Amino acid sequence: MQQNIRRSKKKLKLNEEKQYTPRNKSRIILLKFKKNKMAIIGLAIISILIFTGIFANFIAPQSYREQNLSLKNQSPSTDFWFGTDEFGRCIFSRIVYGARISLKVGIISTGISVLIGIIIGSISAYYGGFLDQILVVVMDVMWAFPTILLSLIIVAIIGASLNSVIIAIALSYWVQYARLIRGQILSLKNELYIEVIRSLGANDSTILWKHLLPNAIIPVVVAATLGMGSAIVLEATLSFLGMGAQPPTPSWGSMLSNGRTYLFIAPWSAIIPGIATIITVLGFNLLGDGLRDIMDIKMKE
Amino acid sequence: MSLLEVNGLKLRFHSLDGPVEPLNGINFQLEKGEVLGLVGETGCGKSITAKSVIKLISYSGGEIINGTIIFDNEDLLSKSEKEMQKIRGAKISLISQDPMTSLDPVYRVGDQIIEAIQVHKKLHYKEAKKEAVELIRLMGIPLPKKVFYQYPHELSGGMKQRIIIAIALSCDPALVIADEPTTALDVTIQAQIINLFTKLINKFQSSFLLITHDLGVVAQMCDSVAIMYAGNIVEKGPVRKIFHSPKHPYTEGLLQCIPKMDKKQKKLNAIPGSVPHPRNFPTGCRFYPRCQYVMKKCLSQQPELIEIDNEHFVACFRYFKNSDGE
Repeated sequence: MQQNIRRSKKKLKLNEEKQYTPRNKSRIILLKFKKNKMAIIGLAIISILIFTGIFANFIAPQSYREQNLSLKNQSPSTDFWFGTDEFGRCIFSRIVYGARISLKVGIISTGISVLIGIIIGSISAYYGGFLDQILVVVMDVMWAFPTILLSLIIVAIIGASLNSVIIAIALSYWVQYARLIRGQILSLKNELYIEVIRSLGANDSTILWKHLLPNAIIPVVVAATLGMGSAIVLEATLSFLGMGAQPPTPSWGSMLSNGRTYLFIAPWSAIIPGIATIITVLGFNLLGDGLRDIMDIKMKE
Repeated sequence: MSLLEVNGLKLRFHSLDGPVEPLNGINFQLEKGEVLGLVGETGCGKSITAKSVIKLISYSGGEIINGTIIFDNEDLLSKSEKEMQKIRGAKISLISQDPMTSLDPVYRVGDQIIEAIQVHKKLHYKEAKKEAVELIRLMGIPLPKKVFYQYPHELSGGMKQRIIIAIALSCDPALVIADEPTTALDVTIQAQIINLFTKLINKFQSSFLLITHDLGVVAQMCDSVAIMYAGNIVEKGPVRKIFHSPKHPYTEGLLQCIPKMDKKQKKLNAIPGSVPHPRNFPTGCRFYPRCQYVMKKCLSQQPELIEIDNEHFVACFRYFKNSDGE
């Protein structure tokens, strides 16, 4: 009896003295991620694409620009898995290199537009007043433009190239992130904990960047993941219209546009880049929807 | 020399129906090490008085239009926002009303205490962490090292309030303003928090400005008390004097509202009527529509605070020596 009590006391003491390791936030996210099948499929698609993009040189069996006019418009075979196009180029190789272009445009342009959106949206919401009114009018005007039209105008002004496509997409899409973050911060800045932090002597930049932004960012992460899909579609659209990457750069959009002429002779040259675009966008959408479910602030075990 | 002196404080809020002035020249002093209770009904201007003292009122849409706030021989109203940031948290800190939403949900509570420490003290993370764990232990929280790594949503309301108190005391401020620190908690936790406060008041050398509507809390914790009604301080003085011989009819009414255990009461007493809205304060004494001793003079003139006893002030015409009626 006595011994038992002593033992339990010892146990209690051990419990008290035990060093507590920080609970791992990323581990919980990972656990929730594993349960979400859609997100895993999305992530798998995107991982494969990123892998393909990075190691395109090793994966592609042929060069993307090497023409062989004697082998034009070949149907899919063991030599040319997805067939050849009107110049006898290997479509599979071009799709592989095209993944690199699509991802580059999708990630960089979304990154830029999220950055612009966060800066403008949060400053607008936090400082309010006249500055906010002006920025809201600017955002509303930009929002009123159809994205394709806006990006076409921007590309037309700065000239058709891959980099101008990236800039055009970034400038067409930042408004949606700015509006999102502005709404978030507007509602968060009246929260009591912001007042508490201010009453501790924190300055504006600490409050805005250290406390408001981390609380506001999760919907933006979700929107940005979904936004990468739309950015890739917009790149394909611009390339389809001849305003994007210039030949022989293998953009899925321009491949689709070229293949369109031979739709009846060699349908694969148009269908395959289309399918590639669809799968990519699907991947981003699945991941984005999955993230929306996973990234709940209050993580329950 | 008192630590905090508030003289003739007036505020203005701009609303769609025009400006509102909820405070009518508040005066009070707080000595070093003193615990002052500020008591009043909802809407009488307690919280905005507190927020004005650390000049956070502009963030709630208010504006200080008159008066002086002298803290530690310095005029706070002439200070810039940057200078105020150095005072907030370091010399004056605020404990807010609702513990449930006072902590940032994305950071661990330990990191929030560390942040409060690092805003004002140049300390490395490890030293700050040691201090933070020590503070958590001081708040009477079991297993401080575990709590350090927890997120706010994993803690109960009482725990959160303790963490908030720890944050407020982290830089050893000269003045702590506690804005209804126990209102959002249930009764047992309230008692614990009040005990914790009494312990901390003895331990830290800080002065406390305790805002509450709970006279029991005042009786237990405060040295002196100021009773507020509709933007005025109607009575102030040492706690004993006010509780034993309340002079202002409002204070009298408040004390009668407390249910008594030793007497048989069929009905609880209540002061008839309610606090008027700042937009339509009555002219004259603002309490007269609810006052049982109302005189002619009350309808047109406002009484000022006069000293009727040693350190006991009251604003009521009944105690004016050479008034018309008496």
